[in-house]
Amino acid sequence: MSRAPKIPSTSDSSFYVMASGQIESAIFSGNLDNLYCRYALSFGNDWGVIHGVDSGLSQIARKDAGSQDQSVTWNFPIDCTFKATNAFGWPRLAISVYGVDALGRDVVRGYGSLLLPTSPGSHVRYVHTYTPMSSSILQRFISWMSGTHPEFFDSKFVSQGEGREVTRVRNTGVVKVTVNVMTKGMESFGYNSGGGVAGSTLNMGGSGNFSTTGGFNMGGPATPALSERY
Amino acid sequence: MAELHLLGTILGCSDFKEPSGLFCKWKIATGESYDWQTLGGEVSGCTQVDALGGEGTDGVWDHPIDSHFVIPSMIGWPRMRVEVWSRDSGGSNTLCGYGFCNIPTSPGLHDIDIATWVPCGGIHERLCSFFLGMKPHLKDPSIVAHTRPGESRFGLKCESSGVVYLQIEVITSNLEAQGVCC
Repeated sequence: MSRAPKIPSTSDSSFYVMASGQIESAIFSGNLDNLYCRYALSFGNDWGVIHGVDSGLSQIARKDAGSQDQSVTWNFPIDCTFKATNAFGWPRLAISVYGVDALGRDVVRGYGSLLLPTSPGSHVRYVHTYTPMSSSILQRFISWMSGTHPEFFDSKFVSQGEGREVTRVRNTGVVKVTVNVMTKGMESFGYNSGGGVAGSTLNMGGSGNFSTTGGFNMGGPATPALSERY
Repeated sequence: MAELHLLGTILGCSDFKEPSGLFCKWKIATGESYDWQTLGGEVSGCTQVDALGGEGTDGVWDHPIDSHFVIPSMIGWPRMRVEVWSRDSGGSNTLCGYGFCNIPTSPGLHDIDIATWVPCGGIHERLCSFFLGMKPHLKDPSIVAHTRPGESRFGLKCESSGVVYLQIEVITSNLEAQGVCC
């Protein structure tokens, strides 16, 4: 019996999406350091992973001490191939960033989510992160005393739409993600995801759009101009 | 049967005057002449509250959208309607803006900025809102995205408000097979 991987033919009853990329770097307001990130891919019932891992945990990264550069670099690879029968439930990347505080405790520094691009090509995305806030001043004081800041029970919560209205958050930073997407068999399913214009989705820079970091005001003190970094 | 997938994110907002606590109620509204059925996903919802967003800073909502429609007709193509509210520390909500955008018909990625407006009313309403904190809002917000025959917005006094940022990926299915170019 041949052990070579089966190359799916186009007459298969499903289509394939291959996403490879990396969580490149992040920039956070405040004097945060020693950050690491966890990612998890969440997807619908009609989707399955046929190759790769759908979650990962990065190394702990510090800022370059001698430089003005306020970003931390993870350079953390993502590589996952999906098989699906329905575009509903398209995979989303749920990112959670943690930091190690002065007492060695793990503290959550930001959550964010990203829809994997549906059109083939190379994409650069900036994910704005946020952390949940305590619901009352007393709880905020207790969490500050004990060092247990509020966290989401499920890190994939940020890639779902349900129950979001009861959470209060504050924004914390920006994570840069690059993804290359290849699709196979979507056309034979009748899908048109705009693959012919993939080049136009490449350029996310400029034009003062929210999704780029240009002009993003973190509201905190002495936040470096993010547009200069990227 | 032709189908439509809307995948995307309500990224956030900027340029709202309210000091903090912005959140957004959204709805994907389809035309009423034809019955646009939903096969999966939510077509309305409410984002998280950005407790610090507002007054010069950008609010982050990061709210996922994943909706699956059957296209009965090109008429009534969906529109995204947003209502931005701010929640103060006492938990009461104030209207900050209405807005809508047409969902693009062409497949692919689209970055959309929705400019919003807020009703300010006449002298009487403005005095009421100043002293009582009650801002005027629409009885029926569906007129934001669709104007039915015989209806008019004339007489409604409004002022411009902030911008809501939406990133949406459109996937159509079997639309070319029916001779439709989008």
